[in-house]
Amino acid sequence: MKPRRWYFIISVFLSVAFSARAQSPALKAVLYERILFDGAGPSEANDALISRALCLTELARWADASDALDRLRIYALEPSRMQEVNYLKALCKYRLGDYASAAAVMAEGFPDTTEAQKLGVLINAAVSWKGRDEFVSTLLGLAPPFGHIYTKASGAVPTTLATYGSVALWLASAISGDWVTAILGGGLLLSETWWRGSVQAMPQKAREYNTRELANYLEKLEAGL
Amino acid sequence: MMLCIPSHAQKVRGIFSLSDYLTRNSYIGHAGRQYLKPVPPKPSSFEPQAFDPSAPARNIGADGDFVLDLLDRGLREDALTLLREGNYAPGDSLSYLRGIALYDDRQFQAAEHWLSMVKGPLSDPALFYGNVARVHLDMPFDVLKALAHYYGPYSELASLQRAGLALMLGNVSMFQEESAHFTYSDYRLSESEKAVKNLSESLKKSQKSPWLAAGLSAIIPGTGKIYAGQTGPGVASLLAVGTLAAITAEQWKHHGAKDWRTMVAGSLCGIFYIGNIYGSWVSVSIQRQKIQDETKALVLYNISIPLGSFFR
Repeated sequence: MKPRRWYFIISVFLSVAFSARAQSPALKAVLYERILFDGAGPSEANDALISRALCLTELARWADASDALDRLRIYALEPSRMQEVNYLKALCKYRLGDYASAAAVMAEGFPDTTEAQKLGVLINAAVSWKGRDEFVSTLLGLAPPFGHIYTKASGAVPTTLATYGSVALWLASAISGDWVTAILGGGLLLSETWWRGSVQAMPQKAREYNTRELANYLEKLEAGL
Repeated sequence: MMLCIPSHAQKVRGIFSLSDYLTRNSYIGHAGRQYLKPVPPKPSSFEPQAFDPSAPARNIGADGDFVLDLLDRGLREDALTLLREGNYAPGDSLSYLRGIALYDDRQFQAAEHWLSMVKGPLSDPALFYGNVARVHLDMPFDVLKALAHYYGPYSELASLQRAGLALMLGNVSMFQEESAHFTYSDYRLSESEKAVKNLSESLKKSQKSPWLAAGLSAIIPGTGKIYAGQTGPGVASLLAVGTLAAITAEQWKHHGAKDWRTMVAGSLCGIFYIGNIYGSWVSVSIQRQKIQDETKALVLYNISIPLGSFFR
């Protein structure tokens, strides 16, 4: 390692260590950013960016940490650090809910540590998790309350009662020869109860189910690791 | 026609407003654009007392450029951290940078506080940034007061801010007086000046009368809402009242006027008919509020855009 680089790294870390207020990870992250502002070379900039990303992950500022890692000069990064960087990148993507990108980064290689193995298990679980299908939920929504049951959504009872009540009004009116009441009244009621309340609402309810259940599943899995 | 309409008029009150609420929020009613309140500014996390003047401190000096660089790259949280924990000596530069960082982070109350403390060479940029923060905080009269005795080098920018405020306040004579100072020759201001001028023209055409809306809906249900710019709820009202009227007529014909089915359908029809008239009257106040919010957003955009060219 070049003497200039040693001097630079030592001066940066001494300045951070002896700064009266440098204890906060947030301020440390800013001081590492300052190194780039002062025109550090590619290798020093990489060290500063990785340190900054570590501070930001400590603060759970995943998007900012991910941005810092995206700014790394890969050509100047030592190959031995690549796996560490991959782990950090995948961690940020995973915490941001971008599981596909996390899996793609993981495929490039992870370090052989317990933490990295745990993250790998979580990413694989997230990617392979199968949620509720929006199309299937819409089809089931045609016959309330099956759509609600499939997506475990609230409001199944009032929607079902309202829908079949509307059908009953429609049938009763049609049988008694009140065609205007049957067609217009029944049509308007069914558009609100059956179409809007059950069929049209299902894709959104499926998305809500998927978000909620995947988060619960990963939380339980993470607690068990 | 100017009419005092309570701001809470759109809340559900009574059976007529309930019927209007149902039609407005029905499947067809939703086809129109929903009215949304603007997002309130974020609460301040940067209290003035957080600064400790007794601690040994240093001048912000060259760090100022670094703070501005952070802000230009959208790293607002980093800029705020540095200004909060950087242990800098109090001064105009520090107050200005704090104000600007908080302004960029949309913490307008704290930004206004710090910017109002700035004196000396940075007082002009602080005044104009502070004014935009005051507009965000619904303090237009404070802006007019701050600009009342301004005779500095940015007089055309001051005229632009005053003209924008005049539009927000509906003060036509003040707008004409201030827009007369627009030269359209300064590249930093010309686009905003044109936009504010165009906005005043479109505002003239968008005045609606709540009584006319109610009258139209009394003649043909839903037309008042369409007149107020709410096509979806208007069509929903027409369908709801029309359907109930047709059902009432059918029940009357088949079962007679005193039959319970006729009475139920007729009562519902009457409730929805009156609710539709009330809803049309309310629609104008909703539309008026929407126009006010859009005017504020456009004025804010056009008075804040030139600040970057002037001072950053």
